[in-house]
This record gives sequence, structure tokens and C-alpha cells, in this order.
Amino acid sequence: MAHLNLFQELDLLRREVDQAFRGLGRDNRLPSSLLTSFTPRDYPRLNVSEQVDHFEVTALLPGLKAEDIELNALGNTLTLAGERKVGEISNGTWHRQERGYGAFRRTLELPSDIAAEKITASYKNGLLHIHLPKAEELKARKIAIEG
Amino acid sequence: MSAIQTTEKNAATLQRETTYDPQYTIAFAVDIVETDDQLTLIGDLPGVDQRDLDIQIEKGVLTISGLLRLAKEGSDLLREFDEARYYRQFKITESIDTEKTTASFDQGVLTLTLPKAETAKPRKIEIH
Repeated sequence: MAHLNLFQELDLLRREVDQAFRGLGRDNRLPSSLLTSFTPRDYPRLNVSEQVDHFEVTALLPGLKAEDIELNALGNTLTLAGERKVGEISNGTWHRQERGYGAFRRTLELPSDIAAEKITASYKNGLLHIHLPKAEELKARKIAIEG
Repeated sequence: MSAIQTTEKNAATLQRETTYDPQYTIAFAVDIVETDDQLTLIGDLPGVDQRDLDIQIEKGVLTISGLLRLAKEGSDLLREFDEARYYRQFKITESIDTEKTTASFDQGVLTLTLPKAETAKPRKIEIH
């Protein structure tokens, strides 16, 4: 079992190094390694943007069914989970097998709390869009001064 | 890793390959499986609208290209992918019946069915 632990430790180390260097350099987009079965990075790939009253999360998730994607929000964290199932074709000669399959889970921490009950999501062309309004108590409020 | 390296070696000699900036060209992942009747190609092209998807077979080369378009708004907190062009070429044999090729596109997954020409199918010969 010592071997297994060693690999696990190395894997964790590599992830940490990956994480540390993410965003360094000219840009952090790595398009050519997109979604291969060997992708070592967090899956799915995410884009997150912030606006005054909400966050927008976009995930690259090809070939799933909307009902197979699970979204959970708690406080300021969003968890995306699901599984891409293996296709029906199994007989025959495989010339290429590059697409990945299996279960995934990714947790994202946002800079502020989100209103979990107001989250909306849509899934189109393999892109998952999530609209996350910020929690009410965090929004700036104009206070009238009585005089 | 540049797109040239990940594109099919057979097609790399084609001149058109160099007309795209490799930085923004994604060689998308594919599965290709061959049965007695047909070849099936399944490719992941998330974020492509069907209008922006282009599939061509010309001179024995199958070219698949598509555009990943994104609506940009707000300030970025995390950016792991960007607008890009998916592009990949495959050399196909003459035994494919290009007239009967069919394609479907669902949630970013392209399924291309390339039936073999009648003459190319394996035939069992009975001995009487």
C-alpha cells in the first residue's frame, strides 16, 4: 500500500504546483490539452466573472444531459458534480480514444456569499452557464438621511 | 503544445494548416471507432453553435472546424478557457462513401458516421 500512497502524494504535489503557477506568464489558457482523457487539471474548465450584483460561471461540459449535472451552493461555495457516461459503441476497432469519461466534482469558492435560492443555470451546446446573485445583505444600499 | 503537433500527421503537409494561429486553435479530442460497415467519429466541441460548425471532405481529407464563442461581461475572477477555433483534419481512405456521411451535433458533441463503400466491406465467401 506504500506505493499507492506515494503516487497519491506525488499527485497532490503536482496539483499544488499546478495551482501555484496558474495565472503566471502571458496567459493561463491551455487550449490544446482541452478535455482529453489525460487532462490532469481540474475538470471542468471554468470561467468566472463578477458584476455588481452577481457572478457568472461558465463551464465547458460537452456531452452531458442537463439532469445529470448537479449543482450545490452553500455560503460562498459552489459545487459542480456529474458524470459523463461511456458511449454505446464498444465493438469494432478503435483508432482514437481521446475523450474522457467518468465522474467529476469541482468546488469553487467565490469572494462573497451567494443567494442560493436565486441561482439559475442553463445548459446549451455543451456550455453550462450559472447565474449567481450575491446575497442580499452584501449589496450596497443607499441610505436616506433624515434632516 | 502547438496545434500542428496534435493535428493528424498525414494532414500536416497541407498548406491550409498553417493559415491558423496555433495559439488559438484547439485540436479537440476525438474517438474514432471502425466496424465492418462504417467509421464513427465522435468529437468534443463544447461551446460551438451549429451555425459555426463546418465539416468538409475534400480530396480524401476530412476537415472539421468550429468556433467557440463566449459572451464577455463583468470583470474576470478566473479564466480557464477563451474564445477559440477548433480545427482538426483527418486523412480518410477512398473506401468511405462520402455521399452517405451523416452528422449530428448534441450538447457540444459531434457524431460523424462515415459508411464504407460497398466494395470496401469485408465479404465472407462461402465454399460450396
